[in-house]
Amino acid sequence: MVDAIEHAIKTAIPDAIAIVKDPYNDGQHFQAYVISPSFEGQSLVKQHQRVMNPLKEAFQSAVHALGLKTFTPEKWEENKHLYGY
Amino acid sequence: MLNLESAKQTIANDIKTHKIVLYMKGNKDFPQCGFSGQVVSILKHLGADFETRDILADEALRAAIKEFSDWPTLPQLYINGEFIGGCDIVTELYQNGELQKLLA
Repeated sequence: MVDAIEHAIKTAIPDAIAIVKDPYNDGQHFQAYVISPSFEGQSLVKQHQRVMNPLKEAFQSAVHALGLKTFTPEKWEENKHLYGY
Repeated sequence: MLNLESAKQTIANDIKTHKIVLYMKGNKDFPQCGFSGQVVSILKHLGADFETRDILADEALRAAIKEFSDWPTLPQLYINGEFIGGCDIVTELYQNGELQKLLA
């Protein structure tokens, strides 16, 4: 499932780096970090919509339990230590 | 039969008339969901003067706001007629200081 979500994100946003985790190992609650230079200048809402809308079509039920954070490469470098990277 | 189009028109007018509108579950004194309550707490903490709309009390509004914003969950915060985000985004913007700028 983790691989399928990563694949769907990269299909929707080809230049993205997508890190998807299953933190409770339950196959239901996922956490995704998506980093893309194309997020530059876009509101967080727009960034989330660009990730979530394609996922909504692909994974009707799983998406409800996906925590999402989006970053431009610059923001990711600034903040990745907060997430253990 | 829900009247989605008229509910969307109501939203469009509402966010034009009021600087800050929070679509939420419950109201600012009695939030009915932890995420709605968190956004209320942030706005109160910043001393914002905001309107709330209770989507639990209006099924048409609840359906309309999700389509209007192209966003599947509540709460939803509008500032100056623009959709800012739900609980996660509002919290992030509060923590990095950008929400304060939007409210100024």
